[in-house]
Amino acid sequence: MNLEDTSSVAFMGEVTAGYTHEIRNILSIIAESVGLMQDILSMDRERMLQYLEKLQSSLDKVGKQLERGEALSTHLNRLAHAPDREHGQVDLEEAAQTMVALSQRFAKRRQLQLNHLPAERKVHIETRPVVVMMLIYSLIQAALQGAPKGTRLDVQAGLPDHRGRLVILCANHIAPADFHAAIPAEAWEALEALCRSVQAEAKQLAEEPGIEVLFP
Amino acid sequence: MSGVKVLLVDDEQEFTSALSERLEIRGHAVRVADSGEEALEIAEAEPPEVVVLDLKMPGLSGIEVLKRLKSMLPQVPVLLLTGYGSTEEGIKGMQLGAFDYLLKPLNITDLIKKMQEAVGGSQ
Repeated sequence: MNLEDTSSVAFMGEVTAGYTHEIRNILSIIAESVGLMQDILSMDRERMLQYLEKLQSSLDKVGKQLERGEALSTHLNRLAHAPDREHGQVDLEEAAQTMVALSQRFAKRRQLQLNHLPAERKVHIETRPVVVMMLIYSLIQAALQGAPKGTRLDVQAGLPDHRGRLVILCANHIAPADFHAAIPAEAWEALEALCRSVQAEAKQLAEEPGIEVLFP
Repeated sequence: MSGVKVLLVDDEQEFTSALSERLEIRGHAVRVADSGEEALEIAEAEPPEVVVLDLKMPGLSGIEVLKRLKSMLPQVPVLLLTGYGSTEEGIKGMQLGAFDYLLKPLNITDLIKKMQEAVGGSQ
């Protein structure tokens, strides 16, 4: 196993651990909501009537969590299929959306909001799919460390001058220099190493608290 | 059998709202905190008989909350909530004074049994 394989395995492990944690939370909410519905349905009629609203809200919760679980599973499945092809067309918009969804837990732990903003048009690039997924993950991880608690990060794909571009911006008013200084050197080096392997380049934006990655 | 005064700490509000409702239906008095910081404030103002604490939370981690609770209210038992693959943290929590740890998703019968054991079986 070479160094790139080792880091791919570590990346998949981290993302899968985050996913399973989220799924566990989803199952816990479903289990408690279903349990509450069973409790209500086993009450005598008079008492049950007082809980009708809770019955409805529990049903709504179950529906909402099923949607949350289904969306997460779709994103993990998309990531799991990234290594199917060594090289090929990548929808950068879709890849960004997937990695934002799978990184929510890490953002939450840092008390940050992480959003995906839709691209103005489709962004297709010819590259190595799994490396792009790792690169977006690494970009998000670096920005999560640069952003102060309570702030929001927006990820967006674009196609300026026919080049694939990914930007992550801190939506709050913080000095770009403070944002960049808070990113640990090793996080930045990891991002740059992934960029090099697909001939992309990462830049810290001078005017805004953010990072952009330009693909060839 | 009278209810237990429990402080439930977890950042998943949809989880805590359903679980607290189920505990209340069974006669327990529940306070809910969405974060470790809030849990410490509630525990200081109105000490519970038992704390049910999730280990994975944003901000103050469950382990850090446990340490502070044990220093603030050493007599109050703490039950930890953890997931498969995180039992090591549950064990670490017990070494730091937690009464026990339970795996999520929970079985409410097991939780109540454990709560009653934790408050000394006198409930």
